[in-house]
Amino acid sequence: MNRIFTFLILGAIAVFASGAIEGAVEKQALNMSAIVMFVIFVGATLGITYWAAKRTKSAKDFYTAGGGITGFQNGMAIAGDYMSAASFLGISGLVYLKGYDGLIYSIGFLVGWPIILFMIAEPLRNLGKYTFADVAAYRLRQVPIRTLAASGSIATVVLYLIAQMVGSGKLIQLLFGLQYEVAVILVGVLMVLYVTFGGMLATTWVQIVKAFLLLSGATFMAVAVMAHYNFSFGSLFAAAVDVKGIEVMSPGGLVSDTISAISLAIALMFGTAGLPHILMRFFTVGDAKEARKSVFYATGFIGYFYILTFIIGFGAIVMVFQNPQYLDLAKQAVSGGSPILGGNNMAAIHLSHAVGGDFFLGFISAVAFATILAVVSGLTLAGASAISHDLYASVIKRGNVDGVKEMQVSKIATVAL
Amino acid sequence: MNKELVDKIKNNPDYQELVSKRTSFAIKLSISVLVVYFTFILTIAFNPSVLGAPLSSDSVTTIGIPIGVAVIIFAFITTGIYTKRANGEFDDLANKIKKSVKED
Repeated sequence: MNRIFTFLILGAIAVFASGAIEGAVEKQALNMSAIVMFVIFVGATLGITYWAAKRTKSAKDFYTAGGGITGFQNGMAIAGDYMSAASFLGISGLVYLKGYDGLIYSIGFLVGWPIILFMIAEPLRNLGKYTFADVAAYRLRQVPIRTLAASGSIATVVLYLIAQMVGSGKLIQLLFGLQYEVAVILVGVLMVLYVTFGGMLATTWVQIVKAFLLLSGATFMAVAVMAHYNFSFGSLFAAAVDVKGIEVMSPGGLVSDTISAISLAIALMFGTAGLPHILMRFFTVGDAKEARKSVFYATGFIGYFYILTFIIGFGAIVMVFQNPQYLDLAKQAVSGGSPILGGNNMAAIHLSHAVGGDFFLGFISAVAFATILAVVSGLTLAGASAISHDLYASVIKRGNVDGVKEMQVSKIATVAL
Repeated sequence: MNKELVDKIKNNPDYQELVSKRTSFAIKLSISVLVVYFTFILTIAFNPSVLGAPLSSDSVTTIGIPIGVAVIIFAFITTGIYTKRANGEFDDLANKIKKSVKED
């Protein structure tokens, strides 16, 4: 509560200090309220990291937060891991662009969860190992399988990391008006700090805080949109149809034949199951009971969140689409249509400005960026555990872990640059 | 874990009951989720106009929207059902097995 109050005061000061966002085409003007929010968030999470560092004593603590997180907290953290910037900005952008089709993606993403719980979580959890390679090595020959599985994990993590780093650099450029290079270095440095000093306990708490902020922010946006239409879905949808035509209300050209329908369905569903940083979260809780509960809570949070993004997407259709303030006029002059500033993925960001002004825009931007940061930290930890735990399995020492991780992180930062 | 203990657990009737019950329960729930999900996706692929039908003649809200939200809620409820049963019945059974193996 205290933190939110501090947000409010500092945010208000920042808004007075900065004035409105200027609509530059490539790079937005320095967005003070967003930066202040973000700095507060980073400060708070570094505080958590410091607290966690003092409590992280062993390798088990480092990878799995000592198994002392409750099911509810872990559910929130899983939801936090899952509600990445791609989910929040991407899905609301997709709903903004295509209407109903955005909902199909949400459903596909969510349906993976029960399947994970029924089929994968239980045996994985029973083995009580840290990484995927541990699980495979439990049944197969140690050395070759560990090398293979670790390489697989690392490849996934590195590819995913590069994508996230590039994405976050772009996002910062748009949100805060910083240089791209500065942004990427900033992400890299913060990530190393979180992971090296805090381990899993810190990344878990960062995720919990972030998930809470993201859910509150999204709830506020959805409620603000609904309040505008007297809490009637009928009139919100009617307004959206007036803007974009009746097509937004029904499934469009997303899937048109059997093969692509089934392959999209499977890809969405099992995309969830394969993410190493999410699988690791089954071990941060004390026992199997809490692990199951955490999936249950996570599914609830994520489902709720997707329903919110759907409302937010429709809100963006009616409140952003028609408002010239958010449209990219230069681009419109060339290609026609109604392109919005920064591309369709920025729909939620613009909507936050439409419903809550500069202050709320700053809040949502900071949360969106913190989201990327938190996901990147989680991923780095998964990569680090694959390298240090699997490849150096016989010599698990904290010093060793840190060294390897920092090397890897700096490499990735260089590649991303 | 030694072989003798493993055999003892494997031959325990409660253990066999636990494994068969839990496996069939997990498979049943998975199938129900998959059936709902694929019915939804394949309807979109083959007959999108079904989901595009308006709820009532004077409304633009299509039937697809409550159905989509219902699929999300359904996925949430099935995880709830599994969690409740696994944390209650199955864990009790597992504890009973542990106890009886230790007593022998």
